[in-house]
Amino acid sequence: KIIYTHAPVHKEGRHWCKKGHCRVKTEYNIYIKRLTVTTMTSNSNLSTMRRLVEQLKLEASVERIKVSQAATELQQYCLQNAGKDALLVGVPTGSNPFREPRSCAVV
Amino acid sequence: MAAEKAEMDALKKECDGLRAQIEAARKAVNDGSMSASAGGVEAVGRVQLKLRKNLKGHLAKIYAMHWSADSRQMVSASQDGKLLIWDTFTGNKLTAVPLKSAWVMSVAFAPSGNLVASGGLDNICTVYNIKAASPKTLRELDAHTGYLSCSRFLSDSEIITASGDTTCCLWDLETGKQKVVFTNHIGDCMSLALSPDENSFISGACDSLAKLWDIRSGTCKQTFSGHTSDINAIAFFPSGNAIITGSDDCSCKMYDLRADQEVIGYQDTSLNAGVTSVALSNSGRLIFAGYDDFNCHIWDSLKGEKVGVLSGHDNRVSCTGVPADGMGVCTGSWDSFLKLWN
Repeated sequence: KIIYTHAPVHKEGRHWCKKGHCRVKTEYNIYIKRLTVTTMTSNSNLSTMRRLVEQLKLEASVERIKVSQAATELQQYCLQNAGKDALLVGVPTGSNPFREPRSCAVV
Repeated sequence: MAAEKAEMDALKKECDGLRAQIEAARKAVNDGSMSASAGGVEAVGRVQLKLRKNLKGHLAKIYAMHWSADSRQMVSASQDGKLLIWDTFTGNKLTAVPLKSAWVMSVAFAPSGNLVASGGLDNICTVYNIKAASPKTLRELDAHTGYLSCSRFLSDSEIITASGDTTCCLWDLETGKQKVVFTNHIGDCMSLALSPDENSFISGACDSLAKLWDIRSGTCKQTFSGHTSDINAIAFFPSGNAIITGSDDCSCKMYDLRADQEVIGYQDTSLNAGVTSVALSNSGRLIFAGYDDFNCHIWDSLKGEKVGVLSGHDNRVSCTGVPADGMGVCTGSWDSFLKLWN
């Protein structure tokens, strides 16, 4: 079984971790993902497996509806709310909160 | 030893059996694809949003942003070691919160507007009171053993965090202690989102799985697979019945919670960049996905087609967000700018 583990790694020079933090000094711990195959003690293996079985039983017991019904309801939601979706139908020019109001000169 | 081995073998067999059972149950309800049933729905046409504001102020990469519930204020976090709170209507900066650690990865606005939270490679989620005369540290939530990738407030007294230590956690802000720890992922948790009814939340992780959790009991109710790489971003469809994920495998997917499976994928052969962030428009019809290719691509959620693009950033789009009133979309980038579009 392959387990992802992370260990604090002190590295010299530049290091790009997953999110792209660049570190040039060694003061900070940077966590990088590492694939390690761990051989656990038989006890922890057993309790992990028991927990996995319980979790799978829980997930197996979920009541499922048909994909066609789910799709129809998602569509209905989109269509019913389309009129209120400013990014879909547009924002009226006069009332756009992010737009500078144009000043009108009254002559 | 023999007895243990026998039990292990029996448990493995039971696991395999249960996995097969789940797959069979999912197949049994898979009676039609989303894009097929969306055939009768009108296309949205080309979605062309205009750049309304370019918010300058950060001096380094922006890693995260979050809208306030008032749809006007917004908080952003940058590697320059600051959180900036913006008035998006005027473009003004309202408050600057200096961070103890510049290695920030996440930021959140409390629904009340009184608090913001941030965290990152320091493994700590720090909560600030921004209504005080000058921003004051309210709590330092320090128990994760990995980086803080995401956080979301339930209220001024509860917050949920996701961490690189593969767990998510519900904290009590009054005591500063962990209330519930959500363990089940086997890879770094990268992102989380609260359900509209706030009884559950979803998390996406580097094990390429998305999980639905019951907040109060701490149990993982459902697991969604299909991605072939880290899930970086996750969001709820506004009805609360489906979730959208964005991954390093360059695709987004929609999983329906009640059908317990993927119902549509959003990928394009011309898109070879990982997805960093996702946000939905208020009707759920449009998906705004930020990519490593410096753009935010817009997808029609029902038909699975690309319908637009927000171009303008000079570096990776790291965060995307739509405010509660749905009046615009904000993109934040490693180029240190935040852009508002509608």
